[in-house]
Amino acid sequence: MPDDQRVTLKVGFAEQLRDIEVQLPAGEPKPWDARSELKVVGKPHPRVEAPLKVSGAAKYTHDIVPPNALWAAVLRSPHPCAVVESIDVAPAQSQPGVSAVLALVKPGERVIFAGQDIAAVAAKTPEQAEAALRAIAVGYKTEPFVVDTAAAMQDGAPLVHRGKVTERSTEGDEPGAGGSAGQRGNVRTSPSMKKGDAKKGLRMAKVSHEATYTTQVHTHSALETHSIVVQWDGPKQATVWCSTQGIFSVRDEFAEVFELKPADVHVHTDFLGGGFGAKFGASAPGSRMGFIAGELARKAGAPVRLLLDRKEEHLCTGNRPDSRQHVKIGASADGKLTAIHVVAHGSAGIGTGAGVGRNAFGIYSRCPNVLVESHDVFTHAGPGTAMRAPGHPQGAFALELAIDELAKKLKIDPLDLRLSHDEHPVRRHQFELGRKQFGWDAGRKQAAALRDKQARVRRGFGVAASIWGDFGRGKAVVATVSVLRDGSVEVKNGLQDIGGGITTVVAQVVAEVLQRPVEAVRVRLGDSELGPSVGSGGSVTTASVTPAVRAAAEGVKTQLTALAAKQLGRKPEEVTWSEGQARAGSKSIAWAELCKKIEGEAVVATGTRPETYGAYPVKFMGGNSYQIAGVQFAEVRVDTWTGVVGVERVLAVHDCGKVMNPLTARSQVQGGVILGTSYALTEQRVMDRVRGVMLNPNLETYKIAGARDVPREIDVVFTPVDTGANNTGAIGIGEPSTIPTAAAIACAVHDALGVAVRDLPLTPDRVLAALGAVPTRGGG
Amino acid sequence: MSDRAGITRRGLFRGIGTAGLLAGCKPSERPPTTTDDPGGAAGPGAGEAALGPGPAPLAFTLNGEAKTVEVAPHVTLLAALREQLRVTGTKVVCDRGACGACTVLIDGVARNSCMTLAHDVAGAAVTTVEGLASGGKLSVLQQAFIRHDALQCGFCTSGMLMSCQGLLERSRGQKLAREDVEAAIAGNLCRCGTYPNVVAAVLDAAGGSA
Amino acid sequence: MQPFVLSRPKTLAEAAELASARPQDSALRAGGIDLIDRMKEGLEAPARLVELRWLGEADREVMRALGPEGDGVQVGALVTLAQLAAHEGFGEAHAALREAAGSAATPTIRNAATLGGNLLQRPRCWYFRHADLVCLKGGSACLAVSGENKFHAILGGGPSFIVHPSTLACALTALDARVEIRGASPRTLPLAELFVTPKQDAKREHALQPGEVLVRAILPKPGPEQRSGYAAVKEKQSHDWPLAEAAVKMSLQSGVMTDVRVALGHVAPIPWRSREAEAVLEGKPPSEALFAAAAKAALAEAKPLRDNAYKIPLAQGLLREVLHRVAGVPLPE
Repeated sequence: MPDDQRVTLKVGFAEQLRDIEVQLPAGEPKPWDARSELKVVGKPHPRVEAPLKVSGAAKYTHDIVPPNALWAAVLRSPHPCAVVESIDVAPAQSQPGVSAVLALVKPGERVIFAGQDIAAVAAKTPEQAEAALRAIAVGYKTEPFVVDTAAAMQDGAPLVHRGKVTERSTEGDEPGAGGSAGQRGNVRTSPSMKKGDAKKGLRMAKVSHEATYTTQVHTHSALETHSIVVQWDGPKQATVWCSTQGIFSVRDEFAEVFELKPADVHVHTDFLGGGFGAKFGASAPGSRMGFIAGELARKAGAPVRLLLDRKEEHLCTGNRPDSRQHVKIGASADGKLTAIHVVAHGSAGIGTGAGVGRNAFGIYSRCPNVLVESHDVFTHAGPGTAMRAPGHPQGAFALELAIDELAKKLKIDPLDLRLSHDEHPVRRHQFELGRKQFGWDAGRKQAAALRDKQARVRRGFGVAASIWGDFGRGKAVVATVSVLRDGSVEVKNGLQDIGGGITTVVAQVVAEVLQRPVEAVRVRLGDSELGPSVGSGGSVTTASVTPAVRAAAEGVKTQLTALAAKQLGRKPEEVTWSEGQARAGSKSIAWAELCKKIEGEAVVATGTRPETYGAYPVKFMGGNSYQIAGVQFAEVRVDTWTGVVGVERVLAVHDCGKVMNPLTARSQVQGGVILGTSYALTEQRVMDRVRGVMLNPNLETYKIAGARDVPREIDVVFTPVDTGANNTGAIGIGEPSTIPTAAAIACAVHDALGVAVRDLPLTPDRVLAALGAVPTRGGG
Repeated sequence: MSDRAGITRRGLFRGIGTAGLLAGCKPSERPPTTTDDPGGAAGPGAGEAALGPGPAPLAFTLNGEAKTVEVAPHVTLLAALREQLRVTGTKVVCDRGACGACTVLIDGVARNSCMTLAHDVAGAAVTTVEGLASGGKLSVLQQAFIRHDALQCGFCTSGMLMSCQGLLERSRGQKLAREDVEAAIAGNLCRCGTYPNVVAAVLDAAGGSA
Repeated sequence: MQPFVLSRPKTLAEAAELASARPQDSALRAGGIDLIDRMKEGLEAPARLVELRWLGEADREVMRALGPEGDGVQVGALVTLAQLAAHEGFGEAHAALREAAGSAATPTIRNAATLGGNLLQRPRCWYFRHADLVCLKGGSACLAVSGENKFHAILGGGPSFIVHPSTLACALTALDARVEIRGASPRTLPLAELFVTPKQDAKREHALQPGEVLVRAILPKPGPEQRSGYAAVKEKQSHDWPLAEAAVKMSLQSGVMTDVRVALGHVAPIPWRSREAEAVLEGKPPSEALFAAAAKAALAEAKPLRDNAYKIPLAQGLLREVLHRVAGVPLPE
């Protein structure tokens, strides 16, 4: 076999296909491209693990109870900022049922958000653990604090950090994001994104628009709370069950904390109840859960379960930071953008990572002058962390609404304004496709007519764009495929299925290669001993895992082909496969018969994924990854008497490379739209600015969209693209699908009212205020 | 319809201690939404005059099987199922009745097991997600969930299924509209965003338009 | 939750005795939704719960009654919201109660929560519900005044600015309901007298004494051609606490509205009857302009806090919608 291979791939989208040459590393299967005729991949297939989930048999970390396991509970700071003067955990030790007690702060230490770890206990029952926490005595000296982002930016605001701030980065972060360009007070400046001269561009503009847009803190609120179960198997060996998006990140952090060899930490995540970016590592972003559970288990000499409750989940496990984005945007009189300038401040609480993504910088690329300056503002609140497309929904909201406000001044259709500045051919195709399918032009006219006659119930139409990169990781995954003598097929990898459906897609890929029914492929995931894999963050899972799985399956197939050739008395290159039979000339051998001839127990091959080798037709931010395109259209209904916004329709047009499983991919996009709708309309962390605590750490006043709050219709359209990135053609969709939703809805509300609501969420109070219906204080 | 759907009728009208209260209603006119009242249904004399604070015996039926456990009065049905009986299909999410993940059927009626004390179900029939399949065969509703991809991470799925099962039981024979399903799952939160698929699955299972 | 004794008395008298023997340490339990919620939050830890659902036949009959009572209608305290929402016996005259019951909470909560519990539940104010904070209900200051008060009272507020949480109370106020109390001094009183304004006593929301039990609500004989309706505006349409509610009752004969009742919910510390709106409407033929004037009158005395002035136009818009619907006047497009 030659070391390298040059192959021709047919790539592109819709009618725009072309041949390109790519260099493949040795042993890499020829990528599936636009010429490939696939029978299983690309066809809808129900989730293979669904029977376990609908029958209650699927075991999540919450459900794991090793023999004699104890229940852990954590005492948390009630104060947003205080110095611990004294702490006495001894009274807890003597409480009924208590086996271990742990102080997590020392006298003299400062706690800097309400919800921070103070002490922990392990007891036989949850009630005993709670009672033991009540017995712990802590003396605090409270200090000034600030939880409001704007207030924290002021000179003289109480300082959150008194030393250098270290970033906590996870696999959920957008690659390339992060870093600092200096810090002053609570404001830490991030590296800016710059093209041309935005200030000059604004001076040249004939028509311009300037406004401040704000977005709220959004908590991940995965239904399964952060949870970890630790069982020590020896002084230096542990088994850990964790509700995680990254099994190996748990293994590595746990090993580091307890000074173990990573191989001696065995991590299981058979199922997890959602993550959305907050579940990486053995700990939560704002709670040292791995250490707490591990140390309590070690002290108690028994396994420990640490399952956070809903309040803790809101306080200390991460969130999407808020933002205040001051946008200046200018254009020539005929509607050519001359500059976009965004100055963003956002608070990730005590943490970092409050940027606003690549929207302003990357989407409307015909604008010659762009400057995006962003700043983290520290506040005394739980740390933010990556959340489904970190930064981007915030950035999309401010940018797209500003574009609509400018289009109104220019008297240009906002979709036309977008089309004339977006150079991504796939996104342009998506805009055009959506314009027809959504009934954009007629809809805008209808909205204008209702607006003109000041109708009680208005309609509005909006559109917004998505930008993300294909961050599929090379050399990270090792998958193993085995075919056993009994004909059964097994695929193994230390991956977790966060709910996106990767288990099914892995089975489909193996089924495609080996020509077996999907049901005949046993997929084993969720275990750190099943081979290296990636975390489910950055929308990389399918793009990183399926090529390795395919490579392994092809390796097995090569061996089986040789075996068949031997059985049929031919050369391997004469053997062809169809419908699960190996054929050569007039002879054939059935799968079951062939497998019986396997020497030893099984034919086994491993596969890896090389680095991404193509990125057609548009690269993301100058790197070697494809820029994933998507657009969403929204139609809203606004009751001007009550201010209530309802989303009637969303059309989501997305590209996720080669669609592996249209059924689960569609669900994932629908989920992105629903998360985005919830962000647009109802969700908001509310902090009491006087007392510095969260007022709605529950699922009642922290308002997640329910069945009646989602768009009445969600249409999902895929525009498949062959990018030549990897051997299955898969790229991600989880994050891109939630980026433009809130922006499109906000633009639609602007269309309905004729005035913009520049603050998320778009709640009735804000809609009524935008309409001028709310008396100002003292004037009512 | 309900037989076609393979839906258990177990204990459907057991809460009928309340039927007499619907004054003026003939049995045939009974509204489709029954109430539950396990305690009331069991009637006077069924329980001790005072229980607790320590563990006290509790007898009820779980997925068709008689259970007797010793449980303290402050323990919720949810905690008793998960922590004591180790029947873990029913999930803890908000623990305050706001998310529906812990929904079970008590005498055929969908209830939040997190806001129900274990001793409330004395003498009652409790159905959890583990009780939906019969003889190892998934129910028509469960199969429809799979077909319509009405689940992603799966953590809301148990509660979602039980709310939908409650709807199918109380509406048997009636044609369902999308709004009926949305109303029935109005208290079930899903973070992955499966609602449209849940609605499609239930309409399919109920024989309506999907 | 901390351990407690669960008592199951067979008579109301026994229940009353158990509940009043150590009033600070006991709680009556019907559906128990709000009670369990407060206990889980650590706001209360009663040593004894006294169950009302295991009473003997005689007491259960009245507390579970749902149907005609003389010329009117009775609703027992143990009737669930689900039963009320499904009760077709109400007709147009009492539709407001059915609609209110169907609007409250979630389907699964409605299967457990009772009329009595709904009327007597504690406020949802996030300061009252916060285990680490002490508000006026247990301390000296209403934290909403200086705090986050988007969901608080715009009418009748001070010194406490809670909004009354009961959805049924709004509808029952419009329907002129009375409630029957049993205990040391049995009585039947107009619903308005059940509730306590913060000026009367900021620590409590209702007038029941320890050992007193609300056993039923009674709706009077409907007026001729009586009709009623209820609606709420919520941020979330699936399950949410209202931003405002409106319930309206009227007789509509010969094109004229009489016996008009207007009640607003979630705008004041008590269910808020608007005699000002009623005065605008009484004896007049329904019209869009009149409804707008009534809505304006209903909110004329509103005194918003920093974040809740939006409730004024919102409640006005809502009340107009309900008036249009109940009177059968088409809403403007």
